[in-house]
Amino acid sequence: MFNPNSPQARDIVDLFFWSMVIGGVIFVLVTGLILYSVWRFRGRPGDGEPHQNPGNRKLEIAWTIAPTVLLAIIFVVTLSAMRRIDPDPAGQQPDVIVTGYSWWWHVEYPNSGVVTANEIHIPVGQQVLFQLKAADVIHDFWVPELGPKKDMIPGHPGNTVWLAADEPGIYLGACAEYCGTQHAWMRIRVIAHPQEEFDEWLRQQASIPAAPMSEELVRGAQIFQESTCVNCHAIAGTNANAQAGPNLTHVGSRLTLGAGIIDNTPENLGQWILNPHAIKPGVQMPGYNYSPADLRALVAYLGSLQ
Amino acid sequence: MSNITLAPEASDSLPALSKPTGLLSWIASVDHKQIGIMYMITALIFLVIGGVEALLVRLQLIVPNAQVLSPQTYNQMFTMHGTTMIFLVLMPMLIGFGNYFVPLMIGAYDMAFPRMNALGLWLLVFGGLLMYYSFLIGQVPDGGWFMYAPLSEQPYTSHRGTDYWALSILVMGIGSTTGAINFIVTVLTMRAPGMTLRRMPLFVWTTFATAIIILFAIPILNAGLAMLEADRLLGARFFNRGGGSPVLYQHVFWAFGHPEVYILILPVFGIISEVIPVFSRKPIFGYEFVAGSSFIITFLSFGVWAHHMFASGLGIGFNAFTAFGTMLISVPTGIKVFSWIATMWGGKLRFTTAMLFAVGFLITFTIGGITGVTFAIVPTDWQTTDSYYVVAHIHYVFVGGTLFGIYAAFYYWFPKMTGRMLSEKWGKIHFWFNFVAFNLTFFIQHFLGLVGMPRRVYTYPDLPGWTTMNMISTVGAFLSGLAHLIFMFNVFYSLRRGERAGDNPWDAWTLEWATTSPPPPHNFDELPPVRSARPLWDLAHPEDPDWKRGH
Ligand code: HEC
Ligand SMILES: [Cu+2]
Ligand SMILES: [Cu+2]
Repeated sequence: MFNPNSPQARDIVDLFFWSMVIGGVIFVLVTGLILYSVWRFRGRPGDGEPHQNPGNRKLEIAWTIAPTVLLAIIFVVTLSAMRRIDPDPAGQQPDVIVTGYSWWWHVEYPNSGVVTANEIHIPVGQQVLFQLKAADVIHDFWVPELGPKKDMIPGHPGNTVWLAADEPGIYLGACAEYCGTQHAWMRIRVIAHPQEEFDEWLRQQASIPAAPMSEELVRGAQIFQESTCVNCHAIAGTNANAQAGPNLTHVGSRLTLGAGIIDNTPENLGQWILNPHAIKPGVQMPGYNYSPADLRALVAYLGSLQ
Repeated sequence: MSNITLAPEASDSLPALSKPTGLLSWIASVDHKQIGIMYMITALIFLVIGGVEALLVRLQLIVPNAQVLSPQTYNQMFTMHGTTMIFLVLMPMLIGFGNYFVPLMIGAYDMAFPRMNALGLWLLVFGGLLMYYSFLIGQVPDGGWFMYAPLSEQPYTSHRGTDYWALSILVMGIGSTTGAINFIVTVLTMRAPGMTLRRMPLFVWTTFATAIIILFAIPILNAGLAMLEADRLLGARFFNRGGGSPVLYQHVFWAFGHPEVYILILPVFGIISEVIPVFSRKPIFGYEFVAGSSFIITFLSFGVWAHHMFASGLGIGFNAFTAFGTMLISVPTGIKVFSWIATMWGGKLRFTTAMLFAVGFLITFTIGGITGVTFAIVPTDWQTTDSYYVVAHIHYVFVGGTLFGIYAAFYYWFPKMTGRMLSEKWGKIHFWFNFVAFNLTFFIQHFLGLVGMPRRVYTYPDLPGWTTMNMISTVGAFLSGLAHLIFMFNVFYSLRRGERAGDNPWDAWTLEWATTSPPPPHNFDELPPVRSARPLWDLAHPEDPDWKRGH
């Protein structure tokens, strides 16, 4: 939140900054008065009783009214900021639909039909409307540098949030609503590109990966299709079209695996397939027992899905 | 049917119950003072348990990707830490002080319903045992102290942890509701002659207000728990898809949950309003405003629950309403802070440990109050909610606020309860240690939240600064643990070695100091006349009594 990279994120930081200024003044005032009285009115042995002052109605009314007025002003500022930062989408179609699963993100671009997972690409300098859904329990979509967070509530597809990035780069986020065992590793990467680069990315993701050429890749594809992987995962252009796990159509182009827990390297991918629980305990994917050669083939095949 | 036993002949005298002694004299007791002490002992035991859970949580977070606890165990620990501290430590501790001191402060010989009073205590104890029984069967609650549906529902939580959690809180809730009724009736009907409502000590006022909140808030929680269990065990659909709504659960939970925050802080406002005047040697500044603001808080506390749900997407109207209520409720709280400072102003301050904790409370609680207002500014809440910023905030309120207030109460009233003073020397060590360690633990967490660390995570990526900040927080937590141990040591030490207290070691002014320490079973042999809120001041200063003053 300290490095805001969108108008709305900056807006929030400004609000926070001013609330801290006001709060800071109040804090200094209060502690100042406390410390001053502690020093000035400390009793000494042998002192008699001080003057018994039971109160002062005018003063009491003053310190009731002054904060009320101050808060009324803050309230008005809050109201207008709410409208600015979270405007009603007014029926506009979302640019991206993100669905929270335990413990990963399903990502869809309804205009182009692209489906991916965990890593979300957006063009820079544009307000992007996200629709937020949940498949199982409540999750919460939070990318602090790009804007506010919003809950994803199963059965309530209505939540939306506007995010934007001024500069290209990778912005980290996370699920902010406790959602079970691996809530900690339900992390988000938002990758902001200049428009042309983003269009290129979208075009590439919309394409169906080329059929495997080398013998090893063919073998890897065959293992995938013959294993239970297809019950949970989808790869466009093949028979695998399940949605219980992340879409793997272009998994080779992702930076991380397991919603941010490991880098996407062949070695890590192999470890993940053999025993995802050792990496992400509780994860909703079984481990597999492949011969080293089969594993190499499967990993090579998945890695080729660029 | 002729051999039905008839009642014994009246010629035989009825067997007299022998007066219980030893442990039985406690277990079978209906005396408000013994019950109050048993509440406090229960709370202290659970403070140790909840504290160990907190330390395990902090140990797991000391460096990224630590493997002290498995993810599941970590989730159990933070769930049990929150649940324990709220339901089994802070609430019973405050109810315990209320039990002991409300009758004494209003000059009564007991609570209005002594047996119901004992029932409340034992429901708490058995509720706590039921909760912790879940450890023995290895199915520990792990859905967070808020137990959001549908995560807490079948099939996402199929083990019995949630059921133990819900049923034990239900049991304790029945206990605290009976306690609330008891406080209300006691305050309304058992006051000594002359003690009009406007002469009641402020601790009595705030406990009375708290009882009203409990009476309305806890049944909401219990209804929610019953619905949750109906979903889980009977296949109902209150909170899950196919008719029910997870958002409904949030409404029900926070309609209880926010008033609960005031249940945990209002009695402390009362404690501070007793301690600061006595050690400033002045009456509270603006008695009516301090008492009255408690009732404004009571009323408003039921209108702010949805500020826990600003990220749920309730729409601008609902959010604005709640934001308004939340800002408004900080006004009566501010009134109290100003009144306490004005009470110190122009006094002759005595820095006993109780007073140190009261002043420490003023400072830390003010920080908690200021960060609290940032949650009412809805857009900043959208950034900070569910992050470590909230963890910092609630601990400033519940530890820097409630627990510091409870420590002030211990140092202030321990002499009355035991006849011996708590060691001031150890007390001061305890205070400074606790104050520094507390701020070391929690201040830095504000920043952790602001840089993006969500709460309730068993680990975190090694991002710049995160490790250092977490390490500082963990070190602070262990030092805090040590500070609490110093307190426990002080209690055991002073019970044996503490200086004799006498009836009124602080020259205080309310009725509990007009009897022996500890008081006899019937509390008072004789009551002084009550003509103001400070009867013992009037007694000692016939030339300048409070009832001749007015402002
Ligand atoms: C029971 C369903 C299921 C089966 C069967 C399954 N997976 Fe998965 N898989 C998942 C889920 C769920 C995740 C996401 C886990 C997470 O990050 O929490 C996942 C994640 C992955 C990922 C990481 C994707 C990413 O972008 O993070 C890869 C790669 C993967 N699975 C490959 C496989 C392969 C290969 C097989 C078969 C050998 C397989 N899976 C079988 C459910 C399954
Ligand atoms: Cu989640
Ligand atoms: Cu989560």
